Amino acid sequence: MVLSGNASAINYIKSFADDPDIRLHITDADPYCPGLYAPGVTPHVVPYARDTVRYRASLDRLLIEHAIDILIPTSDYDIEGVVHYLKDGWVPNVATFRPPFEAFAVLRHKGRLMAHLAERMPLVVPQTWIGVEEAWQWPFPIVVKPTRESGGKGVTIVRHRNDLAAAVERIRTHYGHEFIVQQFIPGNTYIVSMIYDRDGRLVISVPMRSHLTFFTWGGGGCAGEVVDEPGLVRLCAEVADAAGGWSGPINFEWRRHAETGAFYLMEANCRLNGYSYLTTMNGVCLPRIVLALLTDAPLPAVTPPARRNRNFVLGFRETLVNRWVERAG
Amino acid sequence: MTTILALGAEKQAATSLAAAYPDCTVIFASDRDILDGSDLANVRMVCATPADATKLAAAADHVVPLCPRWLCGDHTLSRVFDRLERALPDRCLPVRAHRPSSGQWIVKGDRWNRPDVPLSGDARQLADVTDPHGCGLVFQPYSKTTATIMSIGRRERAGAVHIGTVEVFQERFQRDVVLQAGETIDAPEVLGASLEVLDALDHRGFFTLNWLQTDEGLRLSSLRPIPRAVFLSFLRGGVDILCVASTVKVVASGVRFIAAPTYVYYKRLSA
Repeated sequence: MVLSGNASAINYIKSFADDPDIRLHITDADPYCPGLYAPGVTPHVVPYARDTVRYRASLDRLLIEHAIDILIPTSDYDIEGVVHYLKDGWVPNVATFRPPFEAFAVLRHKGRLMAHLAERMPLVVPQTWIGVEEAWQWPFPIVVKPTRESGGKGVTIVRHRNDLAAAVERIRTHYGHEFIVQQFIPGNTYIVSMIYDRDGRLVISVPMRSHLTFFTWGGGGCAGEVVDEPGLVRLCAEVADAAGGWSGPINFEWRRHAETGAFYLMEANCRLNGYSYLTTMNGVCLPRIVLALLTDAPLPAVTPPARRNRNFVLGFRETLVNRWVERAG
Repeated sequence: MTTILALGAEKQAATSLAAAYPDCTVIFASDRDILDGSDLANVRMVCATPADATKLAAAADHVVPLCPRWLCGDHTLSRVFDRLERALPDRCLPVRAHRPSSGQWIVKGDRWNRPDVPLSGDARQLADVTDPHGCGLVFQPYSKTTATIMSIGRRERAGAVHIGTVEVFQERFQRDVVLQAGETIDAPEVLGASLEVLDALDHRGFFTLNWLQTDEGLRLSSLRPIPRAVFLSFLRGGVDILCVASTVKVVASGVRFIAAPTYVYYKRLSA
């Protein structure tokens, strides 16, 4: 069962849906989520993961009713829910990754992550401030972002000091009072998707570079390619170690400074990246590796880096559906 | 073979058009470097600018503008809504050229859709909004809505309109605004109001009217001279909006669609 039917879940769906040996169940709180309508899946509409009590009850029911063997959360909210349930003693009868809670608490929160790395790996941390008291001395442009959102939600690039108040006010209104302010790093966005096994050993890392972003100012990638950046992969492994280790899929988003070439860490997401299907297009099927690790099966073969030369652009194509998936009960 | 020219093919509607008319050659014209659709057998891509539109159109059987940037004439929201506020004052939400000092407002592009996530708030929260894309900015009262309904189609003249009404369940606001899920509905009030608006403007060509169901009733929030990504759905509902209308023909209700994420290889248009 894959939790969520968007973004990185699309990689799992495209990788597994045609396999006659897999019964693929997809859940999402949004009845119009595209993954629920993919061929070959059994869809379920569930409560929002933020509604923790109802969500957990719904998960428990689905896991038993459908005799689920493997559980793979793929959205930030689902992962947050599952990690908290596990910490609270949830023992579902499924194979799933159990990453260390303390590491999750650091990696999931942009402000905490930057503070955690500031002493350990200062060269990869963009200048970061919490609060606006020292705004008078900041080097503009700067970036203001909510600490617990991803996918570019609420992010504003502030180019002039006079515009700061409006950007902060908008974040407070729409996303609450937790936000960070960061040095703006000009340059390209890189993502490294990684998978750690259940014992915390790194199994594979695939670096990617975005050619086009969802928003005109940046954000997640909607076109890009796989790249060969061993130095960046090493940095990611060091970040994961510094956070306390990991188990399961994770990705790190970086900006490579347009002038210096240095990599700066933007955020960590405790899942495969949204466009990780690019890796499958290039002969590195990360969902198959996840599945193998959770079932103790042999790891699938992957293409060598030199042959990973297919790029991608993401489109959203009109697709007719027969009926809407309804919420159970 | 019939040729369809899609102007501004970086929009979601381009692949909808190509998929709906697989027996036609669909030319994707765009000034953007990276486009979806290279896997579609009937698609050809050309690098062009809005200044090339007339020349390209001369060789096409059908021309479908997907972004107002590619159209001549003044199709701005400010002008259209200025006319509508006088002709049909209770039908539309007002559009203002300057940021009002009180109340909650949403920022929109005047000439075409302002890219990225919509910004809304009071004057203080919108004080930093600029126009880096050159679409022009206008402000509209921000209303709580219970439903968003689009009327999409093509009008030749009064009484000659192909039209469908779509309840929009979800949109994605990115560089392009993506129709994520919707369903054609039987909505006589929306249909009547849409025809009334189009007649009041004597609009000719493609259109998308955005209606909001508010506490005060149905209100028009936008009118753009382009279709959206509903070509397959409209054909399924019995209406071909590429055909010239001679009567009012309405898309059947109950056609449901989503936007499925698709990954394909691309070659830069500038290459």
